Amino acid sequence: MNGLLMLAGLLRATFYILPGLAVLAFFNRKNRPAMSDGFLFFLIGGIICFSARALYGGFMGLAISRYYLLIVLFLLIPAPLGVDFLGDFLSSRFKQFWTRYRLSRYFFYAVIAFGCAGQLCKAYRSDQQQHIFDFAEYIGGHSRPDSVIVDTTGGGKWIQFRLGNSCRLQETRVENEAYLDWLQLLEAVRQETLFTKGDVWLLLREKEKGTLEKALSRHFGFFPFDFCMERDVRKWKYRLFRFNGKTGDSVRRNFPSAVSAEESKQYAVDPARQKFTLNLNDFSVFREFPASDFIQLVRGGTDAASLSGRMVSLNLSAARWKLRFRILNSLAWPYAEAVLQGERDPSGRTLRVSLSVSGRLSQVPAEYSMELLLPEVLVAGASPVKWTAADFVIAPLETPLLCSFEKEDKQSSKEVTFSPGQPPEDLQLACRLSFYGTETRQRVRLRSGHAGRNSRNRSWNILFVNIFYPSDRMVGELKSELKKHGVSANMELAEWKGASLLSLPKYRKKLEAALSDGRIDTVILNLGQCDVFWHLQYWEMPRAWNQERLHLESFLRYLHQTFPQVRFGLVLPLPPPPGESALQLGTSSLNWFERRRGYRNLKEALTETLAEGAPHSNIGIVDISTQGVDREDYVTHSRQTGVPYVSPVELSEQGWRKWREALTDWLLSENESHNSLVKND
Amino acid sequence: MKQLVQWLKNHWEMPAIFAGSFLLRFFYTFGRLPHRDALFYVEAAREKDGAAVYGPSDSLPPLFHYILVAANAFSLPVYETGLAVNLLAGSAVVVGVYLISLELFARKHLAWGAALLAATHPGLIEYSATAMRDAPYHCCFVFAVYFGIRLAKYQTVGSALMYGVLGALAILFRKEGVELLVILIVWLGVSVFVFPQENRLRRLSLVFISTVTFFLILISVCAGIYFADKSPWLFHLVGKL
Repeated sequence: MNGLLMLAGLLRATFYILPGLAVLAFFNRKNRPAMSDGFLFFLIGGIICFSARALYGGFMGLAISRYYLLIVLFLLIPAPLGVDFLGDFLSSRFKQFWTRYRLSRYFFYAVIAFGCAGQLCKAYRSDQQQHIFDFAEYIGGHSRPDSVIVDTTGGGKWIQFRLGNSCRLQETRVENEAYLDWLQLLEAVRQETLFTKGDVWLLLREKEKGTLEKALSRHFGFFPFDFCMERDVRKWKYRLFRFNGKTGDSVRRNFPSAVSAEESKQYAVDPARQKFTLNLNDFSVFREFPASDFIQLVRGGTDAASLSGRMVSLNLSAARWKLRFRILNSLAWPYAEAVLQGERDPSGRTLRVSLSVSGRLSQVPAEYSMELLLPEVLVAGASPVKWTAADFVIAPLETPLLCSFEKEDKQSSKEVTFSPGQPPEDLQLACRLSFYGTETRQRVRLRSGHAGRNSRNRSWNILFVNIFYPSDRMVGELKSELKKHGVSANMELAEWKGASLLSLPKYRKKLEAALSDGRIDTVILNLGQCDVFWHLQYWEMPRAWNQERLHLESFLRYLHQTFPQVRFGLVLPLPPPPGESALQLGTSSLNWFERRRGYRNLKEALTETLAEGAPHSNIGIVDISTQGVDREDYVTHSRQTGVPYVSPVELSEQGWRKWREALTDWLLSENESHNSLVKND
Repeated sequence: MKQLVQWLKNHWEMPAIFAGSFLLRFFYTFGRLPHRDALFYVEAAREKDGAAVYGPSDSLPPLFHYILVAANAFSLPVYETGLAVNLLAGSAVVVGVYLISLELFARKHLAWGAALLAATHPGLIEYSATAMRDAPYHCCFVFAVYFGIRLAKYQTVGSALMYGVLGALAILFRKEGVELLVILIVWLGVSVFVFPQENRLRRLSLVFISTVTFFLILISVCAGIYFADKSPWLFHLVGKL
């Protein structure tokens, strides 16, 4: 077969010579076609077509075969003339041989037929796409609606095409086949496993089997996918996985002390210094958290205290600190909360810090599974193990028995599903396992799809006022983030088109109408996703701001006085991105610097207005820009600054993440500022 | 009917070539996946504001996009419609090659040879068996060249008109269709400087007719797009060129 294909290829190659022979035929007296006007036109067409493609294609470096197909057409047309000329030439040279076998009759058709056969062989040769069909069939047969394929192979688009609208695609292969955007893959896995309601499929292409899987396992601390099928295509190994619903490998980690722990420490500080840096790993509780987990300061950093990795920087001008952290696993799943309280003694030489960690998860799934692994000490010497229901009891802590094994088997794990709506505090998300009087505790694994924790207490009616860009995505992002934290929110989207930050006070009537029935308890005023000074040059901004500032301040007072029961969150816009050519905002440009300064002034002025006293206590500022967009907390603890924009009006995935986290943090925080309490002496 | 039968008797080669090419391309589609770009076109056509995503708002010519959008509007399967357009256009390309060869060399076996080679060419088959813009563009280009050859040879008004129409359609499928206009300009120069004086006026007037038709079609389509979608595609194209 390979020999035949080689022959076919050889025959095809000869056809590129034939147009040259056609040129020879043209100069040959006998075979010369009439040099008609039509032929001249064709010649001009061919030359222009060829040179245009050669110049443009060469200049642009186009390596797309279809771009040059028209040249092929121009070459194919005179090719038979070349064959004809070749036949005539050979017959004149080998006249005796030619006449003896009557070759002049068949030569032309034989060459054309061989050429066509070669071309057909090439065209119909299998192009090894069967694996795509196999994967599509498998996913189609096993997938639930609203599923997503995280694809590194480049074939996901086809699979999605074959599956229709039931599947969404998250591609991580970028342009060049050899290049895999690793960070993009991590982000995709994290996002999809957390937020996708349906199945999450992971399609990997590896040169060496298991390399990507191992790398992902190394990064997340575990591999939350089950293997489904694999195909070998040439040098590549294609493997399909399905998300197994586990967003934290808490069983293997086993940190019982994290459930509830308190620890105090005392540090000697230098009163002459302004800052003191505290390593959270000094506390034994934090040392038990795996390195891939990260700690997030609720409501971001302040001047008094900031967090970087596991280092807390405290401003010593304050006398007391109280900081609240969330501890998230590598899939960004928050599972514990910690409160760090610090107090400086009057002399300023000693700093006493106490830390309390409560290991309750911040969310409870509607259904979740627990995989119980018997400690080896219990299993040893008991082979073959014959377990019965009486052997052990599985129950959530301090609750009645919810389930137990019913049949005899050797399995050491069991999936238990609790009904949705079970109060999470009762479940404690840990289990007591009794085995012949020996008791051990196991934590549970979570499965995606969940109802909110404390949904009775945390069901909010939120009015989301978007004054700059209408976007359902904002509401969607915020909802999913709140859901992650166990809050069910009814959100209404109000789009005040044409409004701007400075013209906000003009929309009192609209706001009154929306809040008149008393249903809404929280209003988010999104003052613009990006540059709200879009149409203003930097020298116009101070004047515009000064003019409108008083109106805005009176508007905030009005909000407080008229709707004291409603919480208002002002989402400050992000400062403009550098290097935006449309606004000539190069990083070195005065325009960009002045805009950044304008944004800082805006934030300070608003903070000042709100800090004037109690009147504005129901109004908060949600500042996304201070959240930073570095990837340190999410990926490998290596600091890498991400860009929150893909364009001046479009946020990147990093930007969206920060946007929704900042907003959620603000929403979750109590009215009193408990997370960054700073009281001067 | 009689006329049709008579025409088929006289020109049986063309339906035969068309049918043969069509079958080759049709069977090629089985067990094969669409081209990646085809999926992109289909996706854009299905989207509500697909025209803003690509096509008229960018330098990609809009005709193929609007064919797919129309299919979507009439609840036809989008990809299959694009595929059908490509299969038909790709098969017609082979007929065009046959006609050009016959016009140039006036020998049937050479024309058959060219048609067979074009019918079996792997690249041409591949891009006719998916929902891409290439096959319709090739079809318009090849027939435009055919009518261009007739224009040069017989100097008929019909050929001039057809050249203009097909040239405009070609540029509405792929911007490389502008080469047909360049060919016309070069031909204008040849008509003025190369050919003897006696026929010059007729030649120039035919080129003029072709050019006017070309721009008339192009501008009217672009104006239609502009009023429908407010997307000045032609300006984008000129900007890109």
